[in-house]
Amino acid sequence: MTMRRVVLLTVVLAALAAAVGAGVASSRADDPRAAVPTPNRQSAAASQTPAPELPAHAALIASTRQSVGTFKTKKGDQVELIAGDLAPDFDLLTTVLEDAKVTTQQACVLDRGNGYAGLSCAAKPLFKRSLVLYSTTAAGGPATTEYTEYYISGLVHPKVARIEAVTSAGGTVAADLSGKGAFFLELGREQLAQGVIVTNLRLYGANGALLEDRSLK
Amino acid sequence: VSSRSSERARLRADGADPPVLAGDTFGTTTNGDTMTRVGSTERRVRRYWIFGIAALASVFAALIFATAALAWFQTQDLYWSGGTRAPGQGAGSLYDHQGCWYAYGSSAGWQVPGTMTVALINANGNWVRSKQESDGGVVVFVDPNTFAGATAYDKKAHCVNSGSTTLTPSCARGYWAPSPGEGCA
Repeated sequence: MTMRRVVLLTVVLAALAAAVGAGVASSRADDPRAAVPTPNRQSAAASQTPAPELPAHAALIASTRQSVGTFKTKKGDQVELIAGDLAPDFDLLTTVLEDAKVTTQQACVLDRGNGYAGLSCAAKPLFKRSLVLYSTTAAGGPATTEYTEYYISGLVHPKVARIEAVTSAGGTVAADLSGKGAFFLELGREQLAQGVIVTNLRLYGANGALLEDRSLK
Repeated sequence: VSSRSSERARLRADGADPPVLAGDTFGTTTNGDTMTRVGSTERRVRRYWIFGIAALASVFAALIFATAALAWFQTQDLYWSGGTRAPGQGAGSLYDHQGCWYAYGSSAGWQVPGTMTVALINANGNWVRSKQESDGGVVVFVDPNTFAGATAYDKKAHCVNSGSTTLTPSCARGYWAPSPGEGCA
């Protein structure tokens, strides 16, 4: 038997084995006992395509994605803010938006730091409703006195020159603002121990005028 | 050697042409290589090798396929949909189930105005990470978004209306599940 026949035979047998394996996998997929028991299979069933691990920035459309600022937390961790449009295949968010009948395209800010990423989105065009797209990130809780970390980050309209947070204790905290409109502010350990949180964001223009006072409720 | 001689003699006695037995050389190729008759025993041995190699290749292919079939993949499910949530009301997904599913993220979508908070909560009920937003869509997820990250601790996804108006939000859990049909490991 020539080497060509050996190769041919090997390929045929391997293909046969793969076909048998595929049959087994397929029959398992049809077996209701083998289905992953979830409380709601509605969206899971709609996304049965095996997906690879998704890097966090894949939540945003690549051509719209840009890093708008990097800030350092009080613990020394870096938080990077990336702006862009929501990727249509980022199912974790598109599924809930669709279900909530939110049909407008979304502009988002992705923040990455300390083992977690977050995404906050608003209808496009951005800044139509408000001059700020913000999100509050916390570690610990749910009681505010249990927070071990608490910061607010986001993106502001270009005409905003200064941001000030008003706290539940009546004080104010100034935010760091990047040249690309990203901002970041964090409460300190003493404030967290007292259960202090931010209640409002005040946005000021270059001339010092108050442009918007946004309640976080 | 003696058996080869007797076999040759037997064939000659039968009046056959001078036989070419296994191991005999009986010419050269155009490249000048010597052509050697392959005997039945050698053929059998070679056949065994061929089938052995083919069988191993088949097992290898089947193993590769089986491994691919056991892969985990990311998906999501809505654990709260279509109902109203008054201010302060929340809803949660199931906790991670070892070998069955592992949450990696928590999301919420709603019609503005309104404020929602999404969280990943550990088995002790502590909110490991939460995110609040007021513009209609918010997500928190482990980063790097890997299987190892999702299996680091038992958790569930949770969402709560943290604003001052009643909402009709949709909340989802992103999680890793075995490949379709594989069931729980």
